[in-house]
Amino acid sequence: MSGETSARAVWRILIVDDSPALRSFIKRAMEISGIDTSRCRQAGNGAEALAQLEQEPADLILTDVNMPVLDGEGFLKRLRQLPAHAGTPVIVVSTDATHRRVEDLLALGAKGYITKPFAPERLRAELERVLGAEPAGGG
Amino acid sequence: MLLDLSEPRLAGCAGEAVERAIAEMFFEGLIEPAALNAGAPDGGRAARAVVRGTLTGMVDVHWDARAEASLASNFLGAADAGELTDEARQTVLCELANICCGSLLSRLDPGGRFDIETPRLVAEPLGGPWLRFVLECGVVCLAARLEEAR
Repeated sequence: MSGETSARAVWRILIVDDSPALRSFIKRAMEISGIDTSRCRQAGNGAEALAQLEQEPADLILTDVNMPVLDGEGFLKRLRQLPAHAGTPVIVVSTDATHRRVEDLLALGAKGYITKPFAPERLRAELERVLGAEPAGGG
Repeated sequence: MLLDLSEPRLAGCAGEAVERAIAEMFFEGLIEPAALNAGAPDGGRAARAVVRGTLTGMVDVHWDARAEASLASNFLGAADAGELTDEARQTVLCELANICCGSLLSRLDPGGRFDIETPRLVAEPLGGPWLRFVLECGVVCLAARLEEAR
């Protein structure tokens, strides 16, 4: 080891779910998997998520489907209309594994779909598949 | 047609959904096979997930006090159940109901469509029958009432 330290960029991940318990679980699952969550944020629905994104972009969004105010489908549609965020990768995290729902959300631009229940390792694998093994930026 | 857990296919889907949820996100396992009980569980508390779509109805999930302490702690990563507020425990039960309901419906009707309302605690759970899941840490039960949308 040369003694150099390399500054590892940290992913800015936005967790969108109306369940505070589930948001905590996802954050903890990432931490267990060795993902730095110091720049992780949370929102209770799609409208709150859009408001947060106006303050700071995200490298990745994890979103539920069934949420009050603005649900997952509505959130994805609105996101794609915003030039600053249209390219942000979105992974859906939902109990709904029906064919139509999965197809609809992938057609709206979701890059991944994790069905609850899921083991923490599944989340890590999907994050790495969508984002790559290391954060590319995040400054 | 009204469905409850006396319908074998529904009971089978419910059993798979609960067992997998408990294992993957609550890190517990059954110590005996799930069993159908006629009556509602005593004590503890229950949350209800109301669903609308190609199937409409409700799914109740109940846990006893022992299961609550352990499962809520496991889910939230608390070292001790005493660390958790009552509100935190309630949100975990509601999420368990959400996960079980969605997982059950996705297995039962994979070609269908459904939306689940935000689950809430209920003072009077469904009458039964109930599926009973015995864990080392306590007991979790599930009941369901579903019908095809007209």
